[in-house]
Amino acid sequence: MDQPTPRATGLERLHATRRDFLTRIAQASAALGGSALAGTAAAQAPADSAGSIPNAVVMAGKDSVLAIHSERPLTASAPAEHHNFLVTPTRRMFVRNNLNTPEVDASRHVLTVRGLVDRELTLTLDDLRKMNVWEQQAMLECAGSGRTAFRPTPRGTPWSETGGMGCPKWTGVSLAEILRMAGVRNGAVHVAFFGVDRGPLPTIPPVVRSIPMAKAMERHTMIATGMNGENLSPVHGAPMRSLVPGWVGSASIKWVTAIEVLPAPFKGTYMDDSYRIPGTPVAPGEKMPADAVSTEDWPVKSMITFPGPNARFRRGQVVPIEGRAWVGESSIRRVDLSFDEGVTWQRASLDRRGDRYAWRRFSLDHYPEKSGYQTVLARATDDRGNVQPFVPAWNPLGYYWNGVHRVGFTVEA
Amino acid sequence: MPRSHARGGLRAPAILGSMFAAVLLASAPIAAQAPTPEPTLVPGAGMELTMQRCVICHEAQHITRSRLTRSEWLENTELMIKRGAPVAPGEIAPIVDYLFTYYGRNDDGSPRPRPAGAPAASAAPAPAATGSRDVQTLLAAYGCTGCHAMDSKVVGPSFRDVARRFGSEAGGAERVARRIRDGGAGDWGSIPMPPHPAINDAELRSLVAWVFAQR
Repeated sequence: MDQPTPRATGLERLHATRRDFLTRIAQASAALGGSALAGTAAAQAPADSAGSIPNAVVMAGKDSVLAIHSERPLTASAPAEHHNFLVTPTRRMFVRNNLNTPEVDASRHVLTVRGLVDRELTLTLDDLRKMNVWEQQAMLECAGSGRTAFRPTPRGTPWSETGGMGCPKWTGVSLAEILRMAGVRNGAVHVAFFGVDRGPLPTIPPVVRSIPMAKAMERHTMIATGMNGENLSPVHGAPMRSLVPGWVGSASIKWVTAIEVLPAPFKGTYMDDSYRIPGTPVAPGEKMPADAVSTEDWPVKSMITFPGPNARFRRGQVVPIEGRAWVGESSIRRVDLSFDEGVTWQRASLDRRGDRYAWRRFSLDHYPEKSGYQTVLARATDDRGNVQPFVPAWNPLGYYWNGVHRVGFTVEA
Repeated sequence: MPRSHARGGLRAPAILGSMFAAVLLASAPIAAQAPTPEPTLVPGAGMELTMQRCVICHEAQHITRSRLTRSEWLENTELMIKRGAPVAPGEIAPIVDYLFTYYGRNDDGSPRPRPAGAPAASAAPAPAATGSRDVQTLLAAYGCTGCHAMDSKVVGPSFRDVARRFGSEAGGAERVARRIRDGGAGDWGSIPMPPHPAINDAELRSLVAWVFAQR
């Protein structure tokens, strides 16, 4: 389902009641000095830092095809051939932590909405569940997904060429609904999300990222509480997280505990030192230039999910090529396949249906004319006319790898 | 993950992608197995300090998989300080020297050869390859006091807490000695102790005896 279910009058009534209720809560909290907490990142560190969940426990909930790219912080993913499904199962969803996996008590967790708002809100999980909860299938992909395909390979998590992404179903409440409830004031430019996750030392700053107001108010941007019909699992942000579909994964903050409406982008190491790309291309190996900008929506991308690398087929047997294509803020127009290293291309069938930010399935039945080792390349084009490049623009932190995906297979004589 | 094969021409990425996929598949069962001991850094001047400052938050592979220029290592170290790494101003130079010497590449991208037959020695005071030394020298050489104090928890538990908990336990001395040498977490929470592979048995014995005497 791609639309918030319209439940007009009853919902408005509910909102009105909730608004009064929340306003009362906010006033009470202000009276108790709660408002003094608002404003700075430092003031927001929870007094009782959550305990952390060991990696072995997290990975017990994951399929063994997920390779661990780093233990501290935990990052893990499975390559393209392990994504041949329409909806990413939770057990296959990639893992990208910046700090430890916190163990959060859902019954005590609260989401504060503050900053440039008329009414500061304090929402519990139950509060969110009483709002307009809806479900969408949407991509989430780490900005550094595919990093090791860049030459030279930039520092950072060594994500394999494919796999640092997934497309599960998310359940939650549109952020716009929450922000309207709080009442966004004039001068609002960015919305920052604060996570409760912490590192091993008290000196480690919390993970905070902000997004522009327009994306925050776009209805698909949500505070998600569920994945694939179940409550969020701890490693994916339980009990609640932001979901900024189509944008680099770091915009979607797990274990979110505060939303702050700001007059400017948030200043902090996860905004100013990471997740940045040159405004204009630089030569491979160069430093980040002064015109760097924050990463936002993913460029057009595709991957071949069948066959996997080095699969074997019998002569005369059909090779049913299948894959997925996606793009941040446009839609997929076409996917072309090449069986001669890009000299000629054949148009794959493309299923254009699906939720706004979900990947699209493409397929083509290929009848090889010769036996032996051969390759297939996939290249997606979006509705703005952007085409996947063979070699994407190199950038110092290795973001946005969207190179043409290539898989080899063998047809036995 | 070994990545020494990762240099290639412009058409290489897709091929290498498949190779990575194969490597990843081969290593995938790790997810379901008991954790294997983390590898450590190449011995050399500054290795102990680098382990202590960096391996609290990251496993050593974050370093061992990298080959960076001196300015990139400096930049990275400064970024990690912004991210909360407990590195004092005077420690930046020895850490960057170590990282560039053993995990460096030249500005033209070519890998830097490592010094041959590097001794398992820190800058100064250098741990001797054999024999025992004064405990205060050991505490300084292995950077123990960077994370541990006599009476209060700093990053790790206080010496006194370690002594109280393990000092009279059967096998306690071996357990603490193993933790000092191999590192790891679990006894005192999730912050890992970095391993100290260069330490010898005599040094371990005198350190553990000294810690246990602090009860």
